Amino acid sequence: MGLMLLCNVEAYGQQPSVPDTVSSLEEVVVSTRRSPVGFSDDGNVDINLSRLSGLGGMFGETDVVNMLKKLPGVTSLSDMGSGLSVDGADFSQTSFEIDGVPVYFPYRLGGVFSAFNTWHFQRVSFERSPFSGASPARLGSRVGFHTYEKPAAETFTGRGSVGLLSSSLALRVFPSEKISLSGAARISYINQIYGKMLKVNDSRIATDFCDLNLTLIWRPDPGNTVTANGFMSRDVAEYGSSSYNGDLDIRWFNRQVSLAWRHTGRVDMSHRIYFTDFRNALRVGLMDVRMRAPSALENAGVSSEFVFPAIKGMADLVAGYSFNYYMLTPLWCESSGFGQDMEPVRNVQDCYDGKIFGDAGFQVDENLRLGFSVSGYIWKNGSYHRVDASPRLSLKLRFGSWSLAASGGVNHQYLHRIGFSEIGLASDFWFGASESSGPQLSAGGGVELSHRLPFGLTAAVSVYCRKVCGQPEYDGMIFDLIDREYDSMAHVLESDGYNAGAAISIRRESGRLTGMASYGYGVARRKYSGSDSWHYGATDPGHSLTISAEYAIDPRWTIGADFMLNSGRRYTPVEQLYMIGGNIISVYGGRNSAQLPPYHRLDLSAVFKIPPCGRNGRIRQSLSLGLLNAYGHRNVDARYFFIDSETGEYRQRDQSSLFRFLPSVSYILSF
Amino acid sequence: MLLLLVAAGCVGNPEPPESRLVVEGVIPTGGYPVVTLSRSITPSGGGGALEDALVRWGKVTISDGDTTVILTGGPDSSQLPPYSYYSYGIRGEAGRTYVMEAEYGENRVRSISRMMSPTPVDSINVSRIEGNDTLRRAVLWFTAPDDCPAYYVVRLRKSRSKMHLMPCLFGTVAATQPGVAASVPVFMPKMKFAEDHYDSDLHVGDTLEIALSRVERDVYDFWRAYSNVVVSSSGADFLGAPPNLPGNITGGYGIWGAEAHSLRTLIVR
Repeated sequence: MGLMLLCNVEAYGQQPSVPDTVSSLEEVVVSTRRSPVGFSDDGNVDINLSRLSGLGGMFGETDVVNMLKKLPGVTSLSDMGSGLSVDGADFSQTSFEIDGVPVYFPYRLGGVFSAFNTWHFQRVSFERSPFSGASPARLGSRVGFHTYEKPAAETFTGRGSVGLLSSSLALRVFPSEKISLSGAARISYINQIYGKMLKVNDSRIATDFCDLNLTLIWRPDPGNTVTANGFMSRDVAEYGSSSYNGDLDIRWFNRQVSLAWRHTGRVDMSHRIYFTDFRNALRVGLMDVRMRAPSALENAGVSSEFVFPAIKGMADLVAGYSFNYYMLTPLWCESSGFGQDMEPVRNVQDCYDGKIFGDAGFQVDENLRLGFSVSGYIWKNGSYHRVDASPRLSLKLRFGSWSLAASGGVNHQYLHRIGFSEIGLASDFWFGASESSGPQLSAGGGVELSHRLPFGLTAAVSVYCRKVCGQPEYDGMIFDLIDREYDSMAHVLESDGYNAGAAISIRRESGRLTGMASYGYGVARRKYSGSDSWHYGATDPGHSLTISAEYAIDPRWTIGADFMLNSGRRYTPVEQLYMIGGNIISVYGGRNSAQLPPYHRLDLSAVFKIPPCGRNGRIRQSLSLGLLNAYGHRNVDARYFFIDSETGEYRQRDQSSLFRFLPSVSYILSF
Repeated sequence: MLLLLVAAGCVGNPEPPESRLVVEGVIPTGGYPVVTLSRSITPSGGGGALEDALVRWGKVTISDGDTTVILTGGPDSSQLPPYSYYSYGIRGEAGRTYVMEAEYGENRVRSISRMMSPTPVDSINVSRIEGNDTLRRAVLWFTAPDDCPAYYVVRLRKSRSKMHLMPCLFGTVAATQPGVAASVPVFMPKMKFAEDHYDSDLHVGDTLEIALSRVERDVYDFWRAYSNVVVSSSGADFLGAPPNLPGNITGGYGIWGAEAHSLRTLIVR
């Protein structure tokens, strides 16, 4: 549940009485609840997922991506949206990785789950502003999911949950001390249970998904570890309108296989080879007209990192390289029902990137640490190629109970993602930097000041400002796809601008009552190339207030609540209406110049732990109860005008978000 | 710092745009011009009456260079707004260019459109819909002319109805190769005000007048984008705001088209 920061240490089980004489106890069970979430001075977060085992979270799934949305400056903008915007950055600028291998679209419709099955991973790292050159070439944050690093002592562990939205099973098997095999699978049945609740006005929405993770760890000796990973996720979202003979569905897939070798010695090394891809297909049916618009990103790559022994006065030195091949298929379309066959035009981009990097950290004294990093990039897309460098600096300073962290630098991004949607739907597609649409660039940094207060409280203030260039936007319409000459690349606009903002937060990381409250304000402003007119970026964060609290009533019951109040999503408003052909036509105003009503939501949850049973209490069970959007507020996701056929008048219609009063109960078993 | 950011994020509320004249006008080959003149309205959150958009006392003139006529306004219940301007003093003729000018109050608009030569309809193929005995689907076939590229809009109305020939949904097609057989599906026009539930198929027993209208590129672009907008704003608005409709009305919104009609009557069986 949220960023619940449980640190209270409790002992239960056998209660020793005060003896007159010393006697031996056969067994004492000590259960320690420690914080699964670690905050570092620079605003980065590390979540130890193995410590979440006793908490079911929403719907039996403690989704880490949703947990991150409760951090200041982190938002997905909309219930129906799919994405993670950090400090005003576009969705595509946040990178997701499994053991250092990219996952290109780990989102699900509705925002309840991400594609990551929490129980397969040992920990998650969130870098708000990545410093290391090992980070992928992205302008935004980095979210890394890390599998277990070595086989454990137990021979067989597992965890299963059965909920109203989905069920999942995660197992770890250790046939020998050197080998472990783990897997996690999850499948949803949202439509069967919640289908009727997903009706919006005269429209119907359906969504389902499944995912699978497999990991094999082989540790032939203490100095070498070989890890093989496999991952796939599949989603489908359908949209139908009863006032039209129309329907729309989006299907998307992520796949990934990787092999990594980690060597610990005089020079620590890790080498990785991988293949990862993302495919989607937007299908539109309207009367006889059928369109299928797929896109794909396929990425094969190798990477290595070398951690050199510390030199006197130098805390660490890391160097490495990566090389990637991308086969990118931007959106194209095959269609039928227009009376004649359409000849689809499909363009494929063959792209390559190479990177070398070096990070150096200097521990000047026990309170001051300086870091310097530089990455050199080579990018090639057909005949287009370029060479860039990204330097970065960081500073960490501690003085008493205060700490100050600052970082800044230049970043490049060569993979762009755009699409019809303003809320990051899976129909968005990737394409590579080219002559007509160069790389994205950001320059700037941030500062975080934190202070430890009494009663286990920590207060923090952060400020950021980054100039961004070459931000891609899409101005096409969905039925442009039927055009014989349709070229998705012809609808790309570029803008420059800046993201700036500040946040203040206070958190309590120990005790029976834990939680976090934060307020942030940010702006994301853009202007098109060659224009002097500013407009808001689609991910303009505005105001955000988040309060998460969790209370451990006793060792069995834990209750929690999360409240979010955010500025409404930016959208392009209708400024004028007129009639043509018996239909109402909208004249749109400035891009993203209006805001939907504020978004607010209260989620409630409770976890009841059934006393452990089995040998040594290995079998642990719990019940997770959840109520999403507890007061049933209809947050607005879209706004438009229509003609009321009964009165002949025009009316405004607000399209509500996906979920309202979404209750759930899950049973969780782990051993 | 927060205050500075809030200040940086503020932008003043822009003045609401002024109302502009809206034209939906057509002059067909061998036929007379009909123009609907209205105004754009600034919407309010609570909705409002579309009658506010009606322009009853405007002045609309059409000229082909030799003849200039002032159109007469009158009630027209077949459309929204229910008022149109017409004249029997000028007829559409292939090869001529027609200038439309309209004014109302301080607003003046102007547009020019050239009449192409009509392209004959080769056939209209009607097919059954599986499992339905009362509905049919149709495809219109024609042969691309020698002077390609050629652009077309398909219009339709029920015979003996008061309706004008209305553009069919997705009824635009461009022919690029001379002499090649081209086709376009015939879906019923989509008029939001006329019905709550739209049915694209043709009903058995209906007698339909179907026109294949050859038009200039700007007219084709308008009606093609129009279908896109009409469908895209059906509720799937999370797909984002589509761009504004193009048009060929200087100083206003809408479209003025000289349309070279090739008319067929179809009895749906």
